[in-house]
Amino acid sequence: MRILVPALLFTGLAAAQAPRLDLKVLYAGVKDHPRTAQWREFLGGHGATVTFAEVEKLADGDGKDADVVILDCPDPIVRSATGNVERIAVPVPKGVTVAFDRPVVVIAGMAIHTDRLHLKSDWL
Amino acid sequence: MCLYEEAHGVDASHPIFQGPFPVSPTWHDMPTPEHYLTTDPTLATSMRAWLVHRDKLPKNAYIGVVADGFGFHDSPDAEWIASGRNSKNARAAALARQGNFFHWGFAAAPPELTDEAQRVFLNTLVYMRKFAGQRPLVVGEGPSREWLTAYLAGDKPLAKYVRNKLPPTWLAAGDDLPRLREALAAEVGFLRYEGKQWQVDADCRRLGLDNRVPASLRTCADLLAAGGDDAATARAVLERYTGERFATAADWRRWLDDAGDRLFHSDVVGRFLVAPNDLVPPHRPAGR
Repeated sequence: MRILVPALLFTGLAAAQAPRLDLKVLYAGVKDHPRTAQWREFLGGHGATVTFAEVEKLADGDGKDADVVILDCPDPIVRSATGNVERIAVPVPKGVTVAFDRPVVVIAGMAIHTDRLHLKSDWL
Repeated sequence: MCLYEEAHGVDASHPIFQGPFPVSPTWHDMPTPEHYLTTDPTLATSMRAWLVHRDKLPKNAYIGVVADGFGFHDSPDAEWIASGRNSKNARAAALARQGNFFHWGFAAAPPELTDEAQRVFLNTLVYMRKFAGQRPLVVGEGPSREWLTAYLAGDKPLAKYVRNKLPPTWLAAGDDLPRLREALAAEVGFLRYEGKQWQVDADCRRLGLDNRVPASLRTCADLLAAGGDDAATARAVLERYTGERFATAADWRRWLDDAGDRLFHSDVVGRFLVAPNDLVPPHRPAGR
Protein backbone atom coordinates (compact mmCIF):
# COMPACT_ATOMS: atom_id res chain seq x y z
CA MET A 1 0.00 0.00 0.00
CA ARG A 2 2.86 2.32 0.79
CA ILE A 3 4.05 1.71 -2.70
CA LEU A 4 0.63 1.98 -4.38
CA VAL A 5 -0.49 5.28 -2.90
CA PRO A 6 2.19 7.43 -4.52
CA ALA A 7 1.67 5.54 -7.76
CA LEU A 8 -2.06 6.23 -7.71
CA LEU A 9 -1.47 9.85 -6.81
CA PHE A 10 0.90 10.19 -9.73
CA THR A 11 -1.56 8.49 -12.10
CA GLY A 12 -4.36 10.78 -10.93
CA LEU A 13 -2.19 13.83 -11.41
CA ALA A 14 -1.19 12.76 -14.91
CA ALA A 15 -4.82 12.16 -15.84
CA ALA A 16 -5.81 15.57 -14.48
CA GLN A 17 -3.10 17.21 -16.58
CA ALA A 18 -3.97 15.30 -19.75
CA PRO A 19 -5.61 17.52 -22.34
CA ARG A 20 -9.40 17.20 -22.17
CA LEU A 21 -11.70 18.08 -25.01
CA ASP A 22 -15.27 19.24 -24.84
CA LEU A 23 -15.98 18.30 -28.43
CA LYS A 24 -18.27 16.10 -30.45
CA VAL A 25 -16.20 14.38 -33.11
CA LEU A 26 -17.40 12.28 -36.01
CA TYR A 27 -14.51 10.02 -36.95
CA ALA A 28 -15.02 8.72 -40.47
CA GLY A 29 -12.64 5.88 -41.17
CA VAL A 30 -12.57 2.24 -42.10
CA LYS A 31 -14.63 -0.09 -39.94
CA ASP A 32 -12.82 -2.71 -37.88
CA HIS A 33 -9.38 -1.44 -38.87
CA PRO A 34 -6.91 -1.17 -35.98
CA ARG A 35 -6.18 2.42 -36.95
CA THR A 36 -9.82 3.33 -36.39
CA ALA A 37 -9.73 1.83 -32.91
CA GLN A 38 -6.56 3.80 -32.14
CA TRP A 39 -8.10 7.09 -33.16
CA ARG A 40 -11.32 6.44 -31.29
CA GLU A 41 -9.41 5.48 -28.17
CA PHE A 42 -7.18 8.54 -28.42
CA LEU A 43 -10.02 10.99 -28.96
CA GLY A 44 -12.30 9.43 -26.39
CA GLY A 45 -9.46 9.30 -23.93
CA HIS A 46 -9.21 13.06 -24.13
CA GLY A 47 -12.85 13.62 -23.39
CA ALA A 48 -14.24 13.93 -26.90
CA THR A 49 -17.59 12.38 -27.64
CA VAL A 50 -16.72 10.22 -30.61
CA THR A 51 -19.11 8.73 -33.11
CA PHE A 52 -18.06 6.62 -36.05
CA ALA A 53 -19.04 6.55 -39.71
CA GLU A 54 -17.72 4.47 -42.56
CA VAL A 55 -15.77 7.08 -44.51
CA GLU A 56 -16.84 5.74 -47.88
CA LYS A 57 -20.49 6.05 -46.92
CA LEU A 58 -20.26 9.53 -45.48
CA ALA A 59 -23.14 11.58 -46.85
CA ASP A 60 -23.92 15.25 -47.14
CA GLY A 61 -25.59 16.17 -43.88
CA ASP A 62 -23.62 13.64 -41.83
CA GLY A 63 -21.84 15.23 -38.93
CA LYS A 64 -24.46 17.92 -38.49
CA ASP A 65 -24.38 17.26 -34.77
CA ALA A 66 -20.59 17.08 -34.62
CA ASP A 67 -18.22 19.96 -33.94
CA VAL A 68 -15.69 18.48 -36.32
CA VAL A 69 -15.48 15.60 -38.77
CA ILE A 70 -12.28 13.61 -39.28
CA LEU A 71 -11.66 11.90 -42.61
CA ASP A 72 -9.15 9.11 -42.31
CA CYS A 73 -8.14 5.87 -43.92
CA PRO A 74 -5.40 3.27 -43.58
CA ASP A 75 -2.48 3.33 -45.99
CA PRO A 76 -4.13 3.55 -49.41
CA ILE A 77 -1.10 2.15 -51.21
CA VAL A 78 -1.73 -1.42 -52.30
CA ARG A 79 1.48 -3.37 -52.72
CA SER A 80 2.36 -6.65 -54.34
CA ALA A 81 3.86 -9.51 -52.38
CA THR A 82 7.28 -8.15 -53.28
CA GLY A 83 6.45 -4.70 -51.96
CA ASN A 84 5.97 -2.94 -55.27
CA VAL A 85 3.20 -0.36 -55.52
CA GLU A 86 0.30 -1.79 -57.46
CA ARG A 87 -2.29 0.93 -57.01
CA ILE A 88 -3.66 3.56 -54.69
CA ALA A 89 -7.09 2.84 -53.28
CA VAL A 90 -8.56 5.72 -51.31
CA PRO A 91 -12.12 5.62 -50.04
CA VAL A 92 -14.33 8.12 -51.85
CA PRO A 93 -16.83 9.81 -49.54
CA LYS A 94 -19.17 11.05 -52.26
CA GLY A 95 -21.13 13.09 -49.76
CA VAL A 96 -18.11 15.24 -48.97
CA THR A 97 -18.04 17.93 -51.61
CA VAL A 98 -17.04 21.59 -51.47
CA ALA A 99 -20.58 22.20 -50.20
CA PHE A 100 -20.01 20.08 -47.10
CA ASP A 101 -20.32 22.65 -44.34
CA ARG A 102 -18.94 20.92 -41.26
CA PRO A 103 -15.37 21.54 -40.15
CA VAL A 104 -13.30 18.70 -41.56
CA VAL A 105 -9.82 17.48 -40.65
CA VAL A 106 -8.43 15.49 -43.53
CA ILE A 107 -5.70 13.06 -42.52
CA ALA A 108 -2.92 11.95 -44.86
CA GLY A 109 -4.20 9.74 -47.69
CA MET A 110 -7.70 11.22 -47.60
CA ALA A 111 -6.15 14.33 -49.16
CA ILE A 112 -6.44 12.42 -52.40
CA HIS A 113 -10.16 13.03 -52.04
CA THR A 114 -9.77 16.78 -51.43
CA ASP A 115 -7.43 16.83 -54.41
CA ARG A 116 -10.30 15.53 -56.53
CA LEU A 117 -12.45 18.36 -55.16
CA HIS A 118 -9.81 20.80 -56.49
CA LEU A 119 -9.16 22.33 -53.09
CA LYS A 120 -5.86 23.95 -52.21
CA SER A 121 -5.30 21.08 -49.81
CA ASP A 122 -4.57 18.79 -52.71
CA TRP A 123 -2.17 15.95 -53.39
CA LEU A 124 0.99 17.48 -54.78
CA MET B 1 2.36 10.01 -50.81
CA CYS B 2 5.58 11.69 -49.84
CA LEU B 3 5.57 13.21 -46.35
CA TYR B 4 7.81 11.78 -43.67
CA GLU B 5 8.31 12.15 -39.92
CA GLU B 6 9.07 15.80 -39.28
CA ALA B 7 7.65 19.24 -39.97
CA HIS B 8 9.69 22.30 -40.97
CA GLY B 9 8.93 25.91 -41.78
CA VAL B 10 6.52 25.69 -38.86
CA ASP B 11 4.45 28.73 -37.98
CA ALA B 12 4.47 28.15 -34.24
CA SER B 13 2.51 31.37 -33.75
CA HIS B 14 -0.52 29.68 -35.28
CA PRO B 15 -3.44 29.05 -32.90
CA ILE B 16 -3.02 25.27 -33.17
CA PHE B 17 0.22 25.67 -31.22
CA GLN B 18 -1.24 28.12 -28.74
CA GLY B 19 -4.06 26.25 -27.14
CA PRO B 20 -6.18 25.14 -25.47
CA PHE B 21 -3.19 22.87 -24.84
CA PRO B 22 -0.11 25.05 -25.42
CA VAL B 23 2.79 23.47 -27.23
CA SER B 24 6.35 24.73 -27.27
CA PRO B 25 7.78 22.71 -30.12
CA THR B 26 11.02 20.89 -29.45
CA TRP B 27 13.19 21.86 -32.38
CA HIS B 28 16.04 20.01 -34.00
CA ASP B 29 18.18 20.69 -37.02
CA MET B 30 17.32 18.73 -40.14
CA PRO B 31 19.70 18.63 -43.11
CA THR B 32 18.02 20.39 -46.00
CA PRO B 33 17.04 17.74 -48.55
CA GLU B 34 19.14 18.27 -51.64
CA HIS B 35 16.18 18.20 -54.01
CA TYR B 36 14.68 21.22 -52.23
CA LEU B 37 17.47 23.31 -53.75
CA THR B 38 16.08 22.72 -57.23
CA THR B 39 13.20 25.07 -56.53
CA ASP B 40 14.96 27.24 -53.95
CA PRO B 41 18.77 27.39 -54.15
CA THR B 42 18.84 30.03 -51.40
CA LEU B 43 17.94 27.54 -48.66
CA ALA B 44 20.46 27.03 -45.85
CA THR B 45 22.15 23.67 -45.38
CA SER B 46 19.88 22.80 -42.45
CA MET B 47 16.32 23.57 -41.43
CA ARG B 48 14.67 23.91 -38.04
CA ALA B 49 12.37 20.92 -37.73
CA TRP B 50 9.79 19.49 -35.35
CA LEU B 51 9.14 15.78 -34.89
CA VAL B 52 5.59 14.64 -35.53
CA HIS B 53 6.22 10.89 -35.66
CA ARG B 54 7.83 9.25 -32.62
CA ASP B 55 9.93 6.88 -34.69
CA LYS B 56 11.57 6.76 -38.06
CA LEU B 57 9.18 5.34 -40.62
CA PRO B 58 10.06 1.80 -41.65
CA LYS B 59 10.27 0.79 -45.28
CA ASN B 60 6.89 0.65 -47.01
CA ALA B 61 5.16 2.33 -44.07
CA TYR B 62 2.14 4.57 -44.53
CA ILE B 63 3.62 7.94 -45.41
CA GLY B 64 1.80 11.23 -45.52
CA VAL B 65 0.62 13.67 -48.14
CA VAL B 66 1.72 17.23 -48.90
CA ALA B 67 -0.34 19.80 -50.73
CA ASP B 68 0.92 22.40 -53.19
CA GLY B 69 2.17 25.26 -51.03
CA PHE B 70 2.87 27.75 -53.80
CA GLY B 71 0.24 30.46 -53.83
CA PHE B 72 -1.47 29.04 -50.77
CA HIS B 73 -1.92 32.49 -49.26
CA ASP B 74 -3.43 34.13 -52.36
CA SER B 75 -6.92 33.75 -50.92
CA PRO B 76 -8.18 34.75 -47.48
CA ASP B 77 -9.75 31.35 -46.84
CA ALA B 78 -6.36 29.67 -46.64
CA GLU B 79 -3.57 29.24 -44.11
CA TRP B 80 -0.19 27.60 -44.73
CA ILE B 81 1.06 26.46 -41.33
CA ALA B 82 3.94 24.06 -41.94
CA SER B 83 5.74 21.98 -44.45
CA GLY B 84 7.38 18.70 -43.63
CA ARG B 85 10.21 16.62 -45.00
CA ASN B 86 8.90 15.43 -48.31
CA SER B 87 9.91 14.40 -51.79
CA LYS B 88 8.59 17.56 -53.52
CA ASN B 89 9.81 20.95 -52.26
CA ALA B 90 10.26 23.10 -49.17
CA ARG B 91 6.98 24.97 -49.69
CA ALA B 92 4.79 21.88 -49.91
CA ALA B 93 2.13 22.07 -47.22
CA ALA B 94 1.95 19.45 -44.48
CA LEU B 95 -0.34 21.44 -42.16
CA ALA B 96 -2.73 23.86 -43.81
CA ARG B 97 -6.33 25.01 -43.94
CA GLN B 98 -8.71 26.12 -46.64
CA GLY B 99 -12.17 27.13 -45.55
CA ASN B 100 -13.62 24.37 -43.39
CA PHE B 101 -11.06 21.80 -44.54
CA PHE B 102 -7.87 21.25 -42.56
CA HIS B 103 -5.03 19.33 -44.17
CA TRP B 104 -3.22 17.16 -41.60
CA GLY B 105 -0.77 15.53 -43.96
CA PHE B 106 1.07 13.29 -41.52
CA ALA B 107 0.05 9.64 -41.62
CA ALA B 108 0.82 8.65 -38.05
CA ALA B 109 -1.93 7.05 -35.97
CA PRO B 110 -2.10 8.42 -32.40
CA PRO B 111 0.33 5.95 -30.79
CA GLU B 112 2.91 6.95 -33.42
CA LEU B 113 2.50 10.70 -32.81
CA THR B 114 4.83 12.50 -30.42
CA ASP B 115 3.21 13.94 -27.32
CA GLU B 116 3.58 17.43 -28.79
CA ALA B 117 2.00 16.41 -32.08
CA GLN B 118 -0.89 14.77 -30.21
CA ARG B 119 -1.57 18.06 -28.45
CA VAL B 120 -1.35 20.03 -31.69
CA PHE B 121 -3.82 17.62 -33.27
CA LEU B 122 -6.25 18.11 -30.38
CA ASN B 123 -5.80 21.88 -30.67
CA THR B 124 -6.56 21.59 -34.39
CA LEU B 125 -9.91 19.97 -33.65
CA VAL B 126 -10.81 22.81 -31.30
CA TYR B 127 -9.51 25.44 -33.72
CA MET B 128 -11.59 24.07 -36.58
CA ARG B 129 -14.84 24.35 -34.68
CA LYS B 130 -15.15 28.03 -35.59
CA PHE B 131 -15.11 27.22 -39.31
CA ALA B 132 -18.52 25.55 -39.22
CA GLY B 133 -20.47 26.91 -42.17
CA GLN B 134 -17.39 28.39 -43.88
CA ARG B 135 -16.52 27.15 -47.36
CA PRO B 136 -13.43 27.15 -49.55
CA LEU B 137 -13.64 30.36 -51.58
CA VAL B 138 -11.41 29.34 -54.46
CA VAL B 139 -11.90 25.95 -56.04
CA GLY B 140 -10.11 25.03 -59.22
CA GLU B 141 -7.00 23.75 -60.87
CA GLY B 142 -5.14 26.93 -61.75
CA PRO B 143 -1.50 26.81 -60.61
CA SER B 144 0.10 29.69 -58.77
CA ARG B 145 2.50 31.91 -60.69
CA GLU B 146 4.86 31.39 -57.74
CA TRP B 147 5.74 28.15 -59.48
CA LEU B 148 7.50 30.15 -62.20
CA THR B 149 10.02 31.50 -59.71
CA ALA B 150 10.64 27.92 -58.60
CA TYR B 151 10.94 26.61 -62.16
CA LEU B 152 13.52 29.24 -63.06
CA ALA B 153 15.44 29.10 -59.78
CA GLY B 154 18.10 26.58 -60.66
CA ASP B 155 20.86 26.55 -63.24
CA LYS B 156 19.93 23.38 -65.09
CA PRO B 157 18.40 23.40 -68.57
CA LEU B 158 14.64 23.71 -68.54
CA ALA B 159 12.66 20.51 -68.64
CA LYS B 160 10.23 20.16 -71.50
CA TYR B 161 7.19 20.34 -69.24
CA VAL B 162 8.49 23.62 -67.81
CA ARG B 163 9.12 25.08 -71.27
CA ASN B 164 5.57 24.14 -72.19
CA LYS B 165 4.24 26.20 -69.31
CA LEU B 166 6.20 29.40 -69.96
CA PRO B 167 4.74 32.27 -71.99
CA PRO B 168 5.69 31.80 -75.65
CA THR B 169 6.80 35.43 -75.81
CA TRP B 170 9.48 34.68 -73.21
CA LEU B 171 10.83 31.72 -75.13
CA ALA B 172 10.88 33.49 -78.47
CA ALA B 173 14.46 34.56 -77.81
CA GLY B 174 15.59 31.22 -76.38
CA ASP B 175 15.66 29.71 -72.93
CA ASP B 176 18.55 31.56 -71.33
CA LEU B 177 17.71 31.38 -67.62
CA PRO B 178 18.92 34.83 -66.51
CA ARG B 179 16.92 36.42 -69.31
CA LEU B 180 13.84 34.39 -68.42
CA ARG B 181 14.18 35.47 -64.79
CA GLU B 182 14.29 39.10 -65.97
CA ALA B 183 11.15 38.54 -68.01
CA LEU B 184 9.43 37.03 -64.99
CA ALA B 185 10.40 39.96 -62.77
CA ALA B 186 9.14 42.44 -65.37
CA GLU B 187 5.90 40.69 -66.28
CA VAL B 188 4.83 38.59 -63.30
CA GLY B 189 1.90 40.94 -62.70
CA PHE B 190 0.58 40.51 -66.24
CA LEU B 191 0.41 36.73 -66.32
CA ARG B 192 -2.67 34.71 -67.05
CA TYR B 193 -2.99 30.92 -67.18
CA GLU B 194 -4.77 29.73 -70.29
CA GLY B 195 -4.73 26.37 -72.02
CA LYS B 196 -2.31 24.87 -69.48
CA GLN B 197 0.25 27.57 -70.23
CA TRP B 198 1.09 30.97 -68.82
CA GLN B 199 0.47 33.88 -71.16
CA VAL B 200 1.29 37.56 -70.86
CA ASP B 201 -1.95 39.51 -70.88
CA ALA B 202 -1.24 42.12 -73.54
CA ASP B 203 -3.95 44.46 -72.24
CA CYS B 204 -2.58 44.48 -68.71
CA ARG B 205 0.94 44.87 -70.01
CA ARG B 206 0.02 47.85 -72.22
CA LEU B 207 -1.89 49.60 -69.44
CA GLY B 208 0.66 48.64 -66.76
CA LEU B 209 -1.98 46.86 -64.67
CA ASP B 210 -0.90 44.22 -62.17
CA ASN B 211 -3.74 41.73 -62.48
CA ARG B 212 -3.33 40.58 -58.84
CA VAL B 213 -3.97 43.98 -57.32
CA PRO B 214 -7.47 45.36 -56.63
CA ALA B 215 -6.21 48.89 -57.34
CA SER B 216 -5.82 47.86 -60.98
CA LEU B 217 -9.57 47.37 -61.20
CA ARG B 218 -10.13 50.87 -59.82
CA THR B 219 -7.73 52.22 -62.43
CA CYS B 220 -9.81 50.45 -65.08
CA ALA B 221 -13.00 52.02 -63.74
CA ASP B 222 -11.31 55.43 -63.96
CA LEU B 223 -10.20 54.76 -67.54
CA LEU B 224 -13.72 53.68 -68.40
CA ALA B 225 -15.13 56.85 -66.87
CA ALA B 226 -12.64 59.00 -68.80
CA GLY B 227 -13.94 57.50 -72.04
CA GLY B 228 -10.66 57.79 -73.91
CA ASP B 229 -8.88 55.37 -76.20
CA ASP B 230 -8.30 52.93 -73.35
CA ALA B 231 -11.91 52.72 -72.20
CA ALA B 232 -12.78 49.61 -74.19
CA THR B 233 -9.64 47.81 -73.05
CA ALA B 234 -10.33 48.82 -69.45
CA ARG B 235 -13.84 47.37 -69.66
CA ALA B 236 -12.49 44.15 -71.17
CA VAL B 237 -9.96 43.83 -68.32
CA LEU B 238 -12.65 44.48 -65.70
CA GLU B 239 -14.90 41.82 -67.16
CA ARG B 240 -12.06 39.33 -67.72
CA TYR B 241 -10.81 39.51 -64.14
CA THR B 242 -14.08 39.75 -62.25
CA GLY B 243 -16.59 37.76 -64.26
CA GLU B 244 -18.98 40.69 -63.75
CA ARG B 245 -20.78 42.81 -66.35
CA PHE B 246 -21.85 46.39 -65.60
CA ALA B 247 -23.13 49.07 -67.95
CA THR B 248 -21.35 52.14 -66.68
CA ALA B 249 -18.19 53.21 -64.89
CA ALA B 250 -20.38 54.36 -62.00
CA ASP B 251 -21.79 50.85 -61.70
CA TRP B 252 -18.27 49.40 -61.60
CA ARG B 253 -17.20 51.89 -58.95
CA ARG B 254 -20.25 51.08 -56.86
CA TRP B 255 -19.45 47.37 -57.07
CA LEU B 256 -15.79 47.99 -56.21
CA ASP B 257 -16.75 50.22 -53.27
CA ASP B 258 -19.10 47.56 -51.98
CA ALA B 259 -16.44 44.87 -52.32
CA GLY B 260 -13.88 47.06 -50.55
CA ASP B 261 -11.07 45.16 -48.91
CA ARG B 262 -12.94 41.89 -49.37
CA LEU B 263 -11.76 41.84 -52.99
CA PHE B 264 -8.89 39.46 -53.70
CA HIS B 265 -7.24 37.74 -56.66
CA SER B 266 -6.37 34.06 -56.75
CA ASP B 267 -4.46 32.23 -59.44
CA VAL B 268 -6.56 29.15 -58.63
CA VAL B 269 -9.44 30.74 -60.51
CA GLY B 270 -7.47 33.35 -62.45
CA ARG B 271 -9.60 36.28 -61.37
CA PHE B 272 -10.87 38.40 -58.50
CA LEU B 273 -13.49 37.26 -56.05
CA VAL B 274 -15.23 38.98 -53.17
CA ALA B 275 -14.91 37.31 -49.80
CA PRO B 276 -18.17 37.02 -47.85
CA ASN B 277 -18.78 39.37 -44.95
CA ASP B 278 -18.81 36.49 -42.48
CA LEU B 279 -15.42 35.13 -43.47
CA VAL B 280 -13.36 34.11 -40.44
CA PRO B 281 -10.11 36.03 -40.99
CA PRO B 282 -7.07 33.85 -41.63
CA HIS B 283 -4.08 33.74 -39.34
CA ARG B 284 -1.12 35.32 -41.11
CA PRO B 285 2.28 35.13 -39.41
CA ALA B 286 4.40 38.25 -39.51
CA GLY B 287 6.55 38.42 -42.61
CA ARG B 288 4.58 35.93 -44.70
